[in-house]
Amino acid sequence: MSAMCTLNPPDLELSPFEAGIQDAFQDLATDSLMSLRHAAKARFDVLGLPKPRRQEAWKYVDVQGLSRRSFSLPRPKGVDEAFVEWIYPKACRLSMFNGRIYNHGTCGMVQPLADAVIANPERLARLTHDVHQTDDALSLLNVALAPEPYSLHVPAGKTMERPLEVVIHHNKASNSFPAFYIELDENATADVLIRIKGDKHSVGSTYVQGLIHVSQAKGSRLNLTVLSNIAYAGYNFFNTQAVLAEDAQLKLFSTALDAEHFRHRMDVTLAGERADATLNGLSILSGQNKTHMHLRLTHAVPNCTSSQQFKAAIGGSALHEFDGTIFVLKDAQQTDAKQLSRNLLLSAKAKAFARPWLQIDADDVKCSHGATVGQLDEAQLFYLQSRGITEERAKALLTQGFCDSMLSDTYLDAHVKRYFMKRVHCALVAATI
Amino acid sequence: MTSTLDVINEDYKYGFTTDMPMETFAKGLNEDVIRAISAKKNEPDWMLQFRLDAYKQWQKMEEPTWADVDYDPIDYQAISYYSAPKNLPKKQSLDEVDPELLATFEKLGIPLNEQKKLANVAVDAVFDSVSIATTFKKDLAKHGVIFCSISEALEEHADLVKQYLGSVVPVTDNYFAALNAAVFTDGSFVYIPEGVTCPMDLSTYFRINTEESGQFERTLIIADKNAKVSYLEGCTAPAFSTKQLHAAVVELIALDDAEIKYSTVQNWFAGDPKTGAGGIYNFVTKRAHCKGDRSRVFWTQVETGSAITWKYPSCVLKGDDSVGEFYSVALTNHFQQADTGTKMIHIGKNTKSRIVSKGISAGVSKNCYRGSVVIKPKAENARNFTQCDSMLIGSTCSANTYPYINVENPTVQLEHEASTSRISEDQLFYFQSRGIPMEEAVTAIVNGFCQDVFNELPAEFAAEATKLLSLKLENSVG
Repeated sequence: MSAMCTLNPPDLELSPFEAGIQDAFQDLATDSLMSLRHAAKARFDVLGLPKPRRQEAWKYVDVQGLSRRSFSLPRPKGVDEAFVEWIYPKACRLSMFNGRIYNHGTCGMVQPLADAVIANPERLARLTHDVHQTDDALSLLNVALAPEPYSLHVPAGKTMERPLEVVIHHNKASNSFPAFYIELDENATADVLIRIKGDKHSVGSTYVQGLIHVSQAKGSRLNLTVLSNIAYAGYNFFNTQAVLAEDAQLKLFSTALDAEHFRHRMDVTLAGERADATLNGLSILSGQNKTHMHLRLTHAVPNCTSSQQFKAAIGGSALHEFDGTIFVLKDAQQTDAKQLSRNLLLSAKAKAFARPWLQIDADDVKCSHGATVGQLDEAQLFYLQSRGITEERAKALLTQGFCDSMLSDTYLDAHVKRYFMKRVHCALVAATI
Repeated sequence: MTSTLDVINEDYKYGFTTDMPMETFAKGLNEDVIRAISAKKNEPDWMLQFRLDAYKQWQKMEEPTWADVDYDPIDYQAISYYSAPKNLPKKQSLDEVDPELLATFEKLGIPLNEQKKLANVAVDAVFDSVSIATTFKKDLAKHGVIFCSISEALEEHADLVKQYLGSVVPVTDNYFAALNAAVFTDGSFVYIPEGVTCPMDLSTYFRINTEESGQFERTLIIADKNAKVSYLEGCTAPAFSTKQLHAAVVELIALDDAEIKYSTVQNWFAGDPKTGAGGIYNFVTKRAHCKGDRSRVFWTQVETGSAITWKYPSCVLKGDDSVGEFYSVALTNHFQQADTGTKMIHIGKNTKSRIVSKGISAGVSKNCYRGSVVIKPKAENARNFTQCDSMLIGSTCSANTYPYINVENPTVQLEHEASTSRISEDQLFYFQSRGIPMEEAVTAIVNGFCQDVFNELPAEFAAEATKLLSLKLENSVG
């Protein structure tokens, strides 16, 4: 695609959605992020809205209706604090409603991104650079339009004493652009839990385009857990973008429980030697849920390691799509990359689509990927039944086991694990009915 | 020990041309050319309509760009769509075939001489646009087996052709299939009647001889109930510096309890090893329809030639308990690019498929596996196993794996596994410590890597494939 293309040609009529984007952009209040917003907007105009017929990554994501809906940014509105349920008893807390911050505690490392870049212009330059690298048009919309992007910045050698818990939620029929930027300096460590929440009763057509942006300097470590529990109709799209410098370590865990029309696109680039990324995912779907886990993992330099494991238990007439590509660039020798997609179909109408892809341009690498789709193992079911456990109970146990193995990783905090176990159980009950 | 792997030219020994009077159509494609091809072959009117309809559809279609291959745009008006040795009415006996042609095939190692029965393979030899000879026809006829060129079939078995042509690969299936349907000139036709196991292997040998001509052949194989056949396909072309287009369509139909085994050893000219100039664009649509219950189709391919390969031999598993298997070795060296794999579409109950793909890339080549496994909602108890392994020789090539898995029935058991690796230094060191030279060691390791696929080839083909692979890899290590 030529980078020379400019805005939509004037003779081409804009859809209400696209026209709304143009207007919303015009109306933005000026802040220190304007150059970044303009760069993102310009790139969005080049890439345009996703084209499911031409772009493999959007083939199964329902975005057809997006261009027909109207577009406007929501007005700021206060929300009752009691509405939020926190997982950590002691944590730095941040909550966003319709893309705007309405509560942030006393965590000194958290501040508006607009303020953060004034003190750190280099960071703005880096973010602008990242904008030019991205090929996911909708994530650019977030960069351009997010009303109040927030930032976590952990200085060199520092460790966040308490985990940071972020809750992102929205009300019905809104467009919202929650954005959270994480920056870890050399040898800094942080533990961040992001919960994307939806209210079952707020049935309406939302469009949420969230962004979690991570940049990790040398030797930094980040545990990032994303829990999506969005049981309402609309378009719930999130992007996580991470760039890791040498010796940096990222553990990302993305869960989608009972998520209605949810897409989580994760772009992780290992840009420094010996960087290591562990990306895990767990989806438990029921009813009409549609969840899309899209992943692009790039090994750009030698000696990096990565591992991905994505599991899905699919009930009802839900659809789960895993679309993951590992790119091993020419110079990335001694890469060790693993990818696994496992899908458990719990009902007659459940659907599982998987595209575990490898694109390898270096020769001295170890790369493997695998995918499985199936039901519970009959031998295991038989064994449990031979011990006097009913078929129903045996199925429930095995399904629980399939999911729980994803939670047994030690990097998940005990509180988070307990909360997840409960949620996983509820979601499984819904999925197996 | 040197571990740097670099690529040195290996001569393509089938790169010669046969000099003989040819009748070649002027370059270009339009309705008149299609009418002329049809007239040349005395085709019935429905066949001409089939072609013209395909041409209309083709004009509306766009050349696909999704494959992971780069090439200059093809000028479809710069290709001659018909080229045949002059004054060549189809011969009743091989004694009448031009000795020059016989010598050409002799040189290629294809036994057209029926006295050489040792090989026990019936051959249909296709030279540019036409079939020049089909051996053992009489012997086969005794068993009721029809094996002839598709032009003959159109004259003598029009009903069968009309019933099945385009039934597996419809005219509008894809850009190159539509082009083929419009301009195909010849190819092989096989019909195995009910209950017959074909007494010998059948084989087609494709040879492109004329520069700037394209080869568009069409193969149609029908195995009636409980019939069995093994079919081999081989191909070569002279070394020209211009690219040549080969857009074939192969359709297989297996009725109840029938079995078709289709093996290909493809050794087209791959282009100049140093510059990448010339070579064949191999854009082929191959598909089998396992229409009957318990029918089985096995595709085995060894892809070593072609500048660009775009090919996905597929199985539509419609019949209950039908089986589709795909075994492939794709070797790319120098400037070659391959985007190849398979599609297994499970529709019937208890259908099974198995995919074993081995890709080897060397030089500055690009080798992609692209495979799709689709389990439709009614395909109860479907099974699929896929294994695709890639091996990289040298740091300038690439190996990509693009599996597509779509499951819409929960009773499936599907496994996909893939790995990418290179020849380990330890393995090479071990061989060398036993006095085995580097090159032989590499060949042995690569052959071992491909063994699962070679085991599926008919004996004489397996020997040829092993030889071909070592020839292609010769001097690729230094």
